[in-house]
Amino acid sequence: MKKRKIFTISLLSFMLMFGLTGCGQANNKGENNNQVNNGNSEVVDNENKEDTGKTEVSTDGVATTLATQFKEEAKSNKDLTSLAESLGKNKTFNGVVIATMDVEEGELAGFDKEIKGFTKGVQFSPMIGTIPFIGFVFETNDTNALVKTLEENHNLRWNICTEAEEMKTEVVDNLVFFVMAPKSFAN
Amino acid sequence: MQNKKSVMAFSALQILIFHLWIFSANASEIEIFLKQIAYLGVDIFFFLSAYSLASRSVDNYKEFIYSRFKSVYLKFILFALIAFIHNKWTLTKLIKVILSIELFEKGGGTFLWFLPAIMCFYLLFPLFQKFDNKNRKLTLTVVSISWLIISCIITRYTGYKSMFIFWNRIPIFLIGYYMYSYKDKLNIKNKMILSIGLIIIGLYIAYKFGYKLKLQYPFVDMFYIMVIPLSIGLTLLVDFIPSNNKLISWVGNSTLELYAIQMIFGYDLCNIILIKTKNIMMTNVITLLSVLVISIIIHYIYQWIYKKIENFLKYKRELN
Repeated sequence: MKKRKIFTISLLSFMLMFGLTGCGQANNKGENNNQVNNGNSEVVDNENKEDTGKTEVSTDGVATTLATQFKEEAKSNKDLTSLAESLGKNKTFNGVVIATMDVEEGELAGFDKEIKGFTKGVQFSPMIGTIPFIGFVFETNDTNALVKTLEENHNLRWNICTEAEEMKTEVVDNLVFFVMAPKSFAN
Repeated sequence: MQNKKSVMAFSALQILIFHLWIFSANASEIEIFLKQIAYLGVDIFFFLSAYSLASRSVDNYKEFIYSRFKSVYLKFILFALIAFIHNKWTLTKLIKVILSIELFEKGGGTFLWFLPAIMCFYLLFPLFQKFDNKNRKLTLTVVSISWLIISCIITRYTGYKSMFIFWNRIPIFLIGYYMYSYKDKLNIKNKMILSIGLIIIGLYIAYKFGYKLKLQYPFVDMFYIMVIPLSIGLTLLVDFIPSNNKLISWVGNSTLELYAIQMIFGYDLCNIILIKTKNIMMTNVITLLSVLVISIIIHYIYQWIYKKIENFLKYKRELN
């Protein structure tokens, strides 16, 4: 009787676990990512049903895909927060929830030294902190200097027990894009 | 270590929080700090492993390795097989993970890196203990200096960084090993004073060197060394918590499963709950509780199956 109870509980647990993870993956493939707005304490289902048409999953890596999107959108959109939010909706994230937050000069996640040389900055990254992805969009008066600082001081292993696989920077006008990412969010 | 299970449960929870805790948008600096330094749960595990090993004398190398393989690496292989299916790994990746090749290629980025790393420590431990029994001071000096020189050479002359996540845990491993010798020398009062002192100093050092900007000088991932005082302080303090409590005992016994389940399913589970609930605190609570419960259940099922197989094999041997 006791063994049957244990078996039943364990079977239900496995079913729950596989059901949650399996169903979640199936559902998320068809959705854009949710966004969390800075200052809110809850996840906001922000424009979840809208398909921008620019969020097709690319065969390029995550970093290149996002850099391409940045290059296209930054020509007309100079608002860092909405840029970061739009990048966070890219289907390359495969359902991972992305949050945005304003950042200031100083100690930024992902770097071994303080980062200075920008007037405004927005970070976009998974809400689950140990997923090895972090992205920034900066506004700056000296794009070359900032790019150099970012590239010299980044650390792909900033997350300790996970490691990003690639780093990419991109510049459009006075905006700088920086990302460290795994090659894919498939798993 | 009077209450090892309490320390193990505490460390396992720290690691769980480090991996899966989500900050609210208005998270305080304290919440962020405590979560970001929760990686030192790993340091405490290295400390505990060494402390436990110091209490035994390895007379038979094969038997020792076999017992370690059964209690640690066998489970690691089983979980690697589960991850192989769930995460759709290639066969090459599975083989690399099981043979610990990925540990040296990717360091902390490899699957359940702690398990192959501690297995490497187990493989070398009998040799270390042999020399330590012959001449403790000389052994400690040679090991320490070698470690320091190799760290500096690799940092200075190569771009290789992956191994430092476990290489830089050698000091705390050694401290754990040698602290066993002093286990009877600390009375309760002194232990409390020492633990609080180490925690206070350790918190400051961890904040300066192991938090936002992690110290990378004079060698890669130097910050692991800087959090040693806090790790030891917490170990000594948590050791006061009695582990005869059932819940602590369950969690303390299931730390390996807890680690595996959070790494295989934790991220997906957390993400799904976050999307469904749209509430960060609820997500944190449900995720942590779910992973804990599932891990404990899996642990005891595994124990039950393992015992059945062992008894069956024993019966077969007796028949023959």
